[in-house]
Amino acid sequence: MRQDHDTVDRADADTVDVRAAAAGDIPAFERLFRRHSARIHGVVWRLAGGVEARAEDLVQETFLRAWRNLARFRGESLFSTWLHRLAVNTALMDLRASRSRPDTDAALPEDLGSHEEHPGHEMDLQRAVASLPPRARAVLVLHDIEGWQHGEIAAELGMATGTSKAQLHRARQLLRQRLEGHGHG
Amino acid sequence: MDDELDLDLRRRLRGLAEDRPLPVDLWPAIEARLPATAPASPVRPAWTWAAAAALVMAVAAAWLLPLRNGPDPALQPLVQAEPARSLHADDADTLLRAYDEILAFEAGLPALHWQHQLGRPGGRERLAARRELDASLRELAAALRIEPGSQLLRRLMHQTLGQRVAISRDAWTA
Repeated sequence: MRQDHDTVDRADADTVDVRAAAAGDIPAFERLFRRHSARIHGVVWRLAGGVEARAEDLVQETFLRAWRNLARFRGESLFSTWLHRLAVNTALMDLRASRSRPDTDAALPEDLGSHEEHPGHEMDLQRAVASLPPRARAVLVLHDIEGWQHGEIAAELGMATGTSKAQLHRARQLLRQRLEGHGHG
Repeated sequence: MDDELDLDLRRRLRGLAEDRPLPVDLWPAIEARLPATAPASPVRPAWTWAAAAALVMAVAAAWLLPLRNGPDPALQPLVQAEPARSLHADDADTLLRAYDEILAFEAGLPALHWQHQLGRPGGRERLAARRELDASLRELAAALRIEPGSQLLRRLMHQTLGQRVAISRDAWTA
């Protein structure tokens, strides 16, 4: 119940701050950043395969894009939903661009061991997810972690729905193999 | 086995959907990159939306119903009854008058005229095209009243009116 109230309060606060920020109020935009940065960081970090430096770049880029597009936000969805989608879109654009950069996904996620809230078992899972090929990882993160539908994923990634399903199947297979290789799963 | 494994795996994956506080405060870096001005305004001239809509609809209508080239002599009475003559003019007032004339002409048709289309070859497509073109024309007319000097709008209005006339003509003779 308390959580419902918090969500409503947060959405109300967002509405006020979005309006102010859209008119150029930077402190209002900072409040939006403070309220949403952890969630945005979480999703882009997962999509970036746990590479912290890239995740931080993506957080910055997401909020800069949000600032530029705030006036276009019409309140048809929650601000948090709009921002989440913008973050995913930013991360996927980076993923597409990174395909032309040499060896970007060879970079190992350097800080997967730094979060104490994921001891042992789940840490292996995070590592296994991070080690997936970028597109397969994106589909798995969006579907199995963020709860998106295949149609939404396909549209965002510019692929057919069937391809999204096939990528998910492949990602799960790879994930299982990697977990079994570590003695979990 | 796979299902069970997948269920367990999926449950664990959902558990990873957590917020992740930033290890460093990125706000100063973001603030430094914010332009000094307010976010870009979304306000655009109304006609840009109408023009975009009309372009889409005109293409859709052309796809649904390939239009004839040039007037068919057998249809001369109808073509004359409609404002075809106006379509050669391209000033906003003339185009808007042509649009009004089309509406007036349609209002004078027997009520069942368009309903009868459903039973005729291509009738369903004609009705769909007419509906889309009418929506486009309404938007274009509104936009032209605001921006009568826009060449793009006049061209789109001209083109869309031509398609609308052709559909009426085809419906009459089908």
